Order: sequence, then structure tokens, then C-alpha cells
Amino acid sequence: MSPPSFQSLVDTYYESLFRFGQSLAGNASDAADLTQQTFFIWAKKGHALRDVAKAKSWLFTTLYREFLKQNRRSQRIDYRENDEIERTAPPTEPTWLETIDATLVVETLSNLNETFRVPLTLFYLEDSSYKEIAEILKIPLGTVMSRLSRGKQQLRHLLRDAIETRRNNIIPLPRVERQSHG
Amino acid sequence: MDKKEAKFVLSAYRPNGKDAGDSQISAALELVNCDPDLKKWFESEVKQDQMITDKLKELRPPSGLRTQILAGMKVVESPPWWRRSSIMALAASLIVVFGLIFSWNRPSYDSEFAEFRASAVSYAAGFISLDYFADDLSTLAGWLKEKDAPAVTDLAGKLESMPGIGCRTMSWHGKTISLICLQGDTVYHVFMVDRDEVSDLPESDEPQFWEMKRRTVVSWKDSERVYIMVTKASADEVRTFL
Repeated sequence: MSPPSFQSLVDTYYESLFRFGQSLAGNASDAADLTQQTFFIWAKKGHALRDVAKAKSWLFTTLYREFLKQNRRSQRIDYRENDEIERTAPPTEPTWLETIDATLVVETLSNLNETFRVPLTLFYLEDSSYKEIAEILKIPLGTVMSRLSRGKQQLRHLLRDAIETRRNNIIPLPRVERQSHG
Repeated sequence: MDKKEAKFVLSAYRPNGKDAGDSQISAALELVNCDPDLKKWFESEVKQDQMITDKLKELRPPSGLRTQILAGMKVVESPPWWRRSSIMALAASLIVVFGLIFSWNRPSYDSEFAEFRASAVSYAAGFISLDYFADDLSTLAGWLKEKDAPAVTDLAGKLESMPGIGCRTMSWHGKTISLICLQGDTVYHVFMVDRDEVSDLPESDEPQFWEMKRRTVVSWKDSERVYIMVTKASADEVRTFL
């Protein structure tokens, strides 16, 4: 298999990598930096990858490592303990999800414990199978499944909370009395 | 597989259906088709996952990001060593041309130190790819420090005054190794690792010499690090300055 060109790799993966970066970092600016840095590293070291079929996993792994490195430097790693949430999983009626938007999803993902957030984001981006997620994160397959299962419950619960909070914060516009023209 | 197991496995099923062919997931899907409750649960799960997936995919990168990445590549494509003197370029080329295929991990050895030494020799005899190029040893050390890799503070004897070619970091059994390549009459590859990372070190504080793969191999240590140097220079030559 011939190695993919740099441009074709960028075209295939930069959007997914950006989204992955945004869910990790919680903002578009850091996500763009992470994405750029990932391709920069690829340009320097990608030739050393023997199995070109693993380019995708390599890119996602590299972005994740870069994120961890930057977090270590700025000590921004946030280990919120969400385990309590699992005891009260929300009902599985999906209609409530219709009110969410992309910003809320990212915000809520970024509030999730990193242990769950990372595999879950990779899952929702749909680029990586659970086996590939295991490879990217260097964790066993069973652990991926467990984190996806628990992570989904936590995410849905947090999303419901976020929707509820939004609803409560809505300030109604003052009623305008219409006058009819005679 | 029971219902609980099936739910566990199906949590890894992506809404785009790409996982349907996976052996574990297809076994769980078979169960879904036989169990109305499980089917209802699964359909609801997929619907919820699909909604979140759709929302996540609405995120768009900044408009200039792709252009910036591709422009950045042009900078990377101009390797710094092109600007180096022809001698340095020739040295780097020789490393590549005469290199063999690199294999860093090797079968087990009598001691960890022996394995480290053998790995270093194999690497030096193979295709060497460096991450960073500079003449100056302190610049190379600074780069390694930035990478949290073992960085040389002072090299033995004449090595210290030799011009550098470049350096890189690598992982060996989870330990960070630094490599600095220096240009004397021939190339000297100096591998460094923190002293407490490798066991079974030679007891003597004097440099130890071996001949392996037609190369001279020397090890020495200081209070912080262990060094393995691999070179095509003869042991007698090395003894004159080490």
C-alpha cells in the first residue's frame, strides 16, 4: 500500500481531528492548534510509520497525546468524579435530545470525566471502531466497551441537566400588546 | 450471550452501522432480533447516539484551518539540514545510505543493561532518523530537555568539542532514551538514559569497551545518566579522548 499524500490525509481527517480536539480542549482555538500540531508531527515523523493503514489511528493518538502534554504543562486536567450520576441514569426516551445543539454537546462532553470523554468522542465521531479506539487509547477492548456504556449514561444525564438549566435561565420577553389599525 | 452482555457489547455499535460485521456485535445483534424488549432498547440507543453524532458533526473547523495546515507542511518540508554544510549533509546521508533496517526491540538478554546496549548497537547500525538538527551540543541538549528526555550536561573528553549532527528521543520499554549524533572523523552515536532506568550496570566507573557488529561500543556513567556510545572508530582511537 502506498503512503497517503499529506494533502489527502488532511482532507480526510482534519475535520474529525478538529472535532476530537474541541471535545478534549473545550474550545475551537485550542482544537485548531491541536489539529495543526498533529499534522505538523505527521509531516516530521509520519514517514516512520510502517503500516500506512494505521495513519488514522496514529493521527488521533498523536492529537490525544499532544492534548495530554499541553494539559500537563498547564495543569488543566480536570478529573471530575461523575460516577454518582450512573446510579440515576435517565430514561431512554430520546425525544428530549431533540432540543440540544452542537455547542451544548461539546460543552457537556467537556464536563465529562476525561476517562469517558475521550472514547465517547471518538465513538460519536464515527471514524473509529471500538477496536481502533482501544488502539488509539492503548486500553483493552472490554475497557472501551465499559467506558462507552458508562460514558453514554453520564453524558445523557449531564445533557438533561444542561437542558433543564437552560430552560430555567430563559428570561421571557416582555409581552407586546398589538394594536389593530382601524 | 445474555441480554446484559448484549447491551454492554452494543454500546460500541456506531449509529452508522459500520460495526455490524464485527463478530461480537453481530452476535449481540442476533439477540436483538429475538428479543422485543432488547430491540426496543437498542433502537432507542441508536436514535440517541445518532442525535449526538449529528450534533457533534455540525461543528465546523475555522475556515482557514486547512490552508494553514497545508502551508505549515511547506515549512516542514524544508529540512533544516539542507542548510547545513556539505560535510554535515554528507554525514547524514552516509547514516541513511549505509543504515540497515532498524529494530529497537530485541529478544531478552542476560541483563537489562546488556539489552539496552544491544538495542543501541542495532539502532546505530540501522536506519537513523533524527528529530532535530544542530551543530551545537548545548542547543541539542536544550531541545532534549524541552522534550523531558535525558539531556547531556557534559560529554566525556573530546566528544564535548565535536560538532553535533542532531538528536532524537525514543522510547525503549517505556523508558525515554535520548540519542545525540556527533561528527568527528566518523560519526559517534551517544545514547543516554537516566541511571535509575536501567539495572545491572557495570560496577566500574571507568568506561567499558566492547566490539559489536563491527563497531566500537563504549559505556560510561555519571551520577545521573548512563551512556552508550556506538561508533565505527576503533577502540584505540576512542581511548585517546575518552
